[in-house]
Amino acid sequence: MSDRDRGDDASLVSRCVAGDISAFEELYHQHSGRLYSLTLRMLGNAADAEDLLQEVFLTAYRKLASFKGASSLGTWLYRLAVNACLDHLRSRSARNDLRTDSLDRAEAPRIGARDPAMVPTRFDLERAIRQLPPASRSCFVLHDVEGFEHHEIASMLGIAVGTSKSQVHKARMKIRAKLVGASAPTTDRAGRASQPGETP
Amino acid sequence: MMGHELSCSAVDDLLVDLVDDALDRALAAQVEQHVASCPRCRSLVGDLREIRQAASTLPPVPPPPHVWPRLRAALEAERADPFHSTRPTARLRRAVGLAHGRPTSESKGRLLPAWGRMAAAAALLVVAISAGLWSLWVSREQAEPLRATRTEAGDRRAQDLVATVESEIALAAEHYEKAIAGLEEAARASGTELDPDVMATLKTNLALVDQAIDDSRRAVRDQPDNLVAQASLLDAFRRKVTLLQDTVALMREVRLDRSAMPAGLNEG
Repeated sequence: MSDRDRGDDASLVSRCVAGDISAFEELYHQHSGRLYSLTLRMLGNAADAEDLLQEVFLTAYRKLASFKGASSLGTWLYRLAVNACLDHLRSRSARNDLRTDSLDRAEAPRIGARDPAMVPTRFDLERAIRQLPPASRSCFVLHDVEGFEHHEIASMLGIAVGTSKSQVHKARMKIRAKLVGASAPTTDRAGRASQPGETP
Repeated sequence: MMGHELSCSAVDDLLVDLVDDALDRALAAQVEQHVASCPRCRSLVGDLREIRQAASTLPPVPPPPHVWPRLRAALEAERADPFHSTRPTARLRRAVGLAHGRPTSESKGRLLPAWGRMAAAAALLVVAISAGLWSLWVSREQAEPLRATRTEAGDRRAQDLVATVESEIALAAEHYEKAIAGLEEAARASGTELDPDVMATLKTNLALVDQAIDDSRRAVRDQPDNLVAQASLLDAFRRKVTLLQDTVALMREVRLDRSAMPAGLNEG
């Protein structure tokens, strides 16, 4: 973070703490895109993501006075959002959702033989991520989209590193199944891939 | 392993590390050799790499335009009445002046020290409960002369009224007692230990509320038609429910904060 960025953050924070609502609006517009993307992809539905985004910014508003500037304002807000997503995913309702596996039940579109130049469109990929079961979705989003390492995800979610890897692998395989359909292999309980018809 | 041809099954076991470029060079070379000669694995690895690459470059999604006006309204409501936050935990934190078991920035400087605010919070509750009990005592004293002047017909009407009120109060008490039992169970089940000072304040406040419930209950039994006694009992129940809701929310948040994040993600 450059000195200029640090100064911009400090100025914006002090205006917010002083009660300047337009400063908070500026802060919101600077950071809401990244945070909303995270909440939307982690939670898998827009209504929960909007509620959580609002809660994250309200929390930020309450805690801004304690922001020390050790990291950038964006990083600080991002940590609040990650915490809020994990909190939500641990909630009772989210745990209930863990039992559902919509993608497994969904009819995968069959588009014939694999196109060797398969490049998933953003729209298809976002939709496939939304349809992942919550456990796979959170690991996939944190690893492949947000760039966390498996050991960081394991620590955040309270799972083993191997479980994080297995969930990310399952997510990728499910997304592939969704995107390419017919030729997609399935995975066994250990996360091992096998082709349809092949004995796992 | 170098020199051995890998099977598809062996490659499957290495897929996640292969796609993450986390295999050591020798093993990666072996896997790549197999992948280059196996259409099935080439297709699979190619797809998974495409997915990983596409996921890492997904652009931000802007929130819908109605989110900011809603947030702004919530902010303004909170600024107007900060002690009536929508979040019970925030209310309780403010009352005891602590956040996550650590002093807040406020507790370090601007306001009273933590012990002072805890004492203040407890004192406020004492004042509120004492005021309720004082009203109850005054109304009871005022009711005594009226009793002496009741006629026989008046007594029958009063007995009917008492039966109705007793029944309604019993229903309300049952409702609140169920809620209280559920919250007490939730607090026990959370298995979280709060800061000892916070716990002491909570216990003091709960003892005060319990005392108020007992006193109000006795008053309602003595004077079932006394509106102040009825209101006092219901108010005491409500206070206990709110306090327990706040306690459960605080325990939950403390537990999540302690267990959720690696050290690097907790610092601002």
